[in-house]
Amino acid sequence: MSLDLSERIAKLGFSQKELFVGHKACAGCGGTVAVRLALQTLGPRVFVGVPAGCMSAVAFLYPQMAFGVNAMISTFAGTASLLTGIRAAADAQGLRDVHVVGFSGDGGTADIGIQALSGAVERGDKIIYICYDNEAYMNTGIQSSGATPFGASTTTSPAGSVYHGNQKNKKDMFEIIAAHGIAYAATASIGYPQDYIRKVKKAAETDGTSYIHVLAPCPTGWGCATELTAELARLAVDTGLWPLQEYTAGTYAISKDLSTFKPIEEYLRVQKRYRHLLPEEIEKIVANRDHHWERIRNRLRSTAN
Amino acid sequence: MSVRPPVIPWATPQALSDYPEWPHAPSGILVEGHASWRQALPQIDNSQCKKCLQCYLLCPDAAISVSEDNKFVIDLELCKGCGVCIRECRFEAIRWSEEKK
Amino acid sequence: MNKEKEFLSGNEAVAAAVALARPEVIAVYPITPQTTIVEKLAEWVANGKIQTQYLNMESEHSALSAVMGASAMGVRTFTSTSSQGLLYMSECLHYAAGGRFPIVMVNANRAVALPWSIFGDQRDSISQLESGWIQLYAENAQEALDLTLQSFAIAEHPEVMLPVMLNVDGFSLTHTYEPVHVPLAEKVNQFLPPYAPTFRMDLEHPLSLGFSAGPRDNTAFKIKQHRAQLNAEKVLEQVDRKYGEIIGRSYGGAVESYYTEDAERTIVTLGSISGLVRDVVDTLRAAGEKVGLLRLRSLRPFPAARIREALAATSRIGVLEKNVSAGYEGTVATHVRGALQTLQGRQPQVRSFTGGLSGRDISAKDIREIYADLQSDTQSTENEVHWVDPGVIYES
Repeated sequence: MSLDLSERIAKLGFSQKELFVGHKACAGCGGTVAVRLALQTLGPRVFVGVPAGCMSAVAFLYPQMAFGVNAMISTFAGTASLLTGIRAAADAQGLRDVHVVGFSGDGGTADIGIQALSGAVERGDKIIYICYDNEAYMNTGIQSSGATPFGASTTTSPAGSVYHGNQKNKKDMFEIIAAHGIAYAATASIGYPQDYIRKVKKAAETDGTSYIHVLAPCPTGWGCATELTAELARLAVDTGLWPLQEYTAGTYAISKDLSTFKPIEEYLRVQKRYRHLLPEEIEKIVANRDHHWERIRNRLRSTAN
Repeated sequence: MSVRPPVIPWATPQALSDYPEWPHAPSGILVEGHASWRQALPQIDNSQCKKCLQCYLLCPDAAISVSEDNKFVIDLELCKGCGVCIRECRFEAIRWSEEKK
Repeated sequence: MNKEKEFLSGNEAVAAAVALARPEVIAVYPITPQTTIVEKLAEWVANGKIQTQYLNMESEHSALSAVMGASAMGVRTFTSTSSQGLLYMSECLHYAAGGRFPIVMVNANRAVALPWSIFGDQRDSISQLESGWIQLYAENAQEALDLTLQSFAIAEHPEVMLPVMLNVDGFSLTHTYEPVHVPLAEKVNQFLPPYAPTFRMDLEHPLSLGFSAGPRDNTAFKIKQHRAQLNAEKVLEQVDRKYGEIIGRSYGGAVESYYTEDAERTIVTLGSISGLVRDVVDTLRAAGEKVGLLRLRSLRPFPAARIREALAATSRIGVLEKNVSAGYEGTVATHVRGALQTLQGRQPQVRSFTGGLSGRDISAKDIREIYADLQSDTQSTENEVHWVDPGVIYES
């Protein structure tokens, strides 16, 4: 049975109205895909908080307002705390069936906003916090963040003759948030939009705090062709560098298990930020990946027993 | 099927009273598109389309929508020409057109 | 009308007022000497005496951020802080004023590190004068209660729509017990009806808030914000009159003038020390000295015209404040001097007195010495700060 286009889109449960459109993001921006898919999934009864950063810079330049829903820029550190206040007011007003959702980049989440995020998760505030991870401070011009992976060149961790790009490993926000005992946490990738949409729906149905960490490539910052945004987001998953996971009420799960990994060179070589890497540095990335998967699998094995 | 706000050119405020008293604005107001950004325009051959929705889901600019006769169309005002849709289409139903700026 | 007075500390008086004001959202973070306000509120929430969303936040920055979110939704909000907490909020202070969120916050004035001190002075709030908040200063527990209620009415007034910071001196006001008249809830409800927001995030008419405005548009919003501050001085007086009519107490707006009409020497001050200055003025007046007190109840808006008017007869003015702007003088002194700039024909001398830092006691003797200084012909050198009993031998 073949459905026509509108029927297929209707099956997604998307809002008829585009709720994030007309923004001034760079061509091929992955972050905007993460925002749009989440909003089309959640529908118009939402209140959005977005910190200072790419998504606010491109969507709130007076008078052009790209969000078609209630939305507010928060302070850089204050995404989660703003959402806490919005939810408290919505509760006070007796508003039912509304979602309070934040979209913050990796710097706004893993670095400057982690305190407020941790507080909201600990309180169990009914908010959906979505971190669109492009692995550096892109709005200010590609500076290293706590979520920048090992080896990546940024303007504050450049590839020089002594130091070859970022020397530290990516902070694992999924583990940090899961360790709070949050109601629902997941990693996702815009390269797997159906999986991401499913997770947004799950977050919407969760009673308590939800956290989704979605990999959202930035062609400008990663130094790749604009058309590669979704493909790189998919390759990050398929090479095992970005495992898709869930944590639901104390239970961990892998959303996409991999028996074999695609060669990571396929992922690295098309990105300028990795072009300087030496073979031993690539080996270290592989070793880190394997160790990460081992930990994930060991945990699943031990909980299954 | 997807509905977006129309682009309505902005009358530049002249007087103080042309601005809102408090810094708030209605959501979903477009005063300009981004057609001038693009170097080339993707073109959809709907006869090759297998309706997988990948282009529609992954367009960063929400520039792919469904026309009244149930076909995908590219929004000429919003498309920035990133090429994600072309890359993502497994059926080669989207290609670059000849339009060059 | 409830004639009974209760024996309350300044912080308890504030808490009583907050309960009567019925905010839907209260966000809290502990810091001495503010904490007993939010502890009292927590107790009342826990026992069902008040219904509100009481949020235990992870920092002062988060507390103010949360009430901004709530205020954007169109509900009445309250928070309180002190000192380092106020400074940690600084980003959100500017944000809340620029966003025109009518939040009410009580700041229990406290010294600012370094050196560390939990005791009171006014360096915390005065350092934030440029944040865009209305800044009020209470003298005693009764005024703290009354001004807390008035602050909501001022903040939420459609011609104002700005956050209000009510300052109460740490310990000397916050922790000192006084007989306080607590108004009846019916009277307060009449004075302060539920908040009717001029704008709010709404599902039917979604709004974008906190947006960016470039070089073309930005100034327009700042002009409106400035005008709202100027409007607040008139609104402050209207609200004070209305409060007087309904509750039975009023204070006369942004300044309180005490024997200034014919005063040749006037001490200008603010906050809890005003009571002692008033006592000293009484004593000196009884001895035939032409001295007056001008108490500033608001630093933002700054009531320049009323200050000019009140100091019309005065030739030497001493500004006593628990603050100093290192490298210049007391900030309030600078402000008072600025207000007198446009006086026609004569220029009274303004001398800057800094005392009471980190809770250091200011005695009646210190105030008499300030008066003696004003009586002498000594001229201040430029940028000279007169340290009130600094506790050390002052070697110039």
